[in-house]
Amino acid sequence: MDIKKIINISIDEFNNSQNQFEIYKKNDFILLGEGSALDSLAIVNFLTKLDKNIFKESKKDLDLMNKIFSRQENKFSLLDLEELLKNNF
Amino acid sequence: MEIEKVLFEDFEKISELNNRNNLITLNKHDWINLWNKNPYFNQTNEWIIGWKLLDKKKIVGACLNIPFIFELKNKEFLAAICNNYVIDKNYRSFSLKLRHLFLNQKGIDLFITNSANIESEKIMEAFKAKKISQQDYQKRLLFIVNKPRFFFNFIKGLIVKEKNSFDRDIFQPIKEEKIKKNNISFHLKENFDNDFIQLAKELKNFNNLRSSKKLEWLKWKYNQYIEKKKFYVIKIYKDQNFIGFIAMVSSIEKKYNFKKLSIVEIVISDKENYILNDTLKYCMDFAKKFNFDVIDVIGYKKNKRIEFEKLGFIKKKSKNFNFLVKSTNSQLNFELFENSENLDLSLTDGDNIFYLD
Repeated sequence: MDIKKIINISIDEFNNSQNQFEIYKKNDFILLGEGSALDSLAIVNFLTKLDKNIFKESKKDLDLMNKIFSRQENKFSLLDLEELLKNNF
Repeated sequence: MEIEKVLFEDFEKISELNNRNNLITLNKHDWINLWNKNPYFNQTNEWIIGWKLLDKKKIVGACLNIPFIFELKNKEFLAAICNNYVIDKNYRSFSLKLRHLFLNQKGIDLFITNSANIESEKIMEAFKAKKISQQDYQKRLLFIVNKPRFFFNFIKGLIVKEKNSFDRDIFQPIKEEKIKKNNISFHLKENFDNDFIQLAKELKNFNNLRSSKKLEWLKWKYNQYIEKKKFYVIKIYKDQNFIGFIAMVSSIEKKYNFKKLSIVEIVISDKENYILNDTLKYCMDFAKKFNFDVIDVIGYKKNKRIEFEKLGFIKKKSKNFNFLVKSTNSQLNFELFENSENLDLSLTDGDNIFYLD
């Protein structure tokens, strides 16, 4: 399964698991930083689901949280996530 | 948004941030002493006291960082204790960056929080921290010293929603005393003395992971309570040899106006555990004599907890005493995450110890 598909499955799981936040499947959707509609716990929930789904597919423990937060940029979009994962998947 | 290192001059702004988020701040003297009198901080120029999140010049988030030394079987391990992790509501998506900075410092064996609420717990776990395996850590042990007053204040606390403001005799001075029972004697004091230097050397090869019991660490950790006369230590002697101690802190539980005695240190070797029962009875007598309403105990390993339960302490589950650790030292993984019966951590092994008051 390609990484885009795993991200989309994880977004669906996240959106269906609660009704306070919604992640839109758009490249410019801001996950982190100024303009993000998600709070810290929502981000953790989404990334934990994504981490699990990646592990299910590839048996790789990517330690996504640390990878993402090691970056220096202030903003992090869905497209950034996809590119980061493409390089590590 | 910017993230910068916290400076001592930020105290007032961090205090304002805490007020906005209903969090307690130590007074400035005690707050600065968390680092200034810290034995490790004084040896190094590299320790970062914390990180602050800035919106223009306003501090809208903070995560403080306190060094502890842990000991196990004659070895020392450096720990970073997370303290005062707070973010204003509109900036919560940035809180993870602060947590990441705390958890990714170099040269540290353990990253600890023992005051995590459910939200912080989830965040710590997402960054690969784990809950310690210690049996019943989240079940505090309570002994009700004065039942009629305890239940009266408990019911009153449920009905009257505003915080009680009337004073209790919290600063009641004690008289240092020596009590002898067969070949065991107890010496009640209000401070640590030089005998603790030798005791720490004798207990160096201890089999339980725990924060340092060296005199300089004990004095630093309990400094605010010692200065306010809210601290007591019972030195335990066997055949006139100093073999261990129990330390206690008094406070007022504000919601119910209980006068509370927290047992914060139990340091005695396993082979002397049979003395614990008599020592705890002495603590209970002390609590009765000085009109405490309740004795509160958080943590400690199974064989110690059994002694408390034998004496009538009851278990109460608590949500806010999650003890989470990220370990970068594989030598410690068994102790922390598998040794559930023998792990002996308590409030004193994290930042919770600074907020008993």
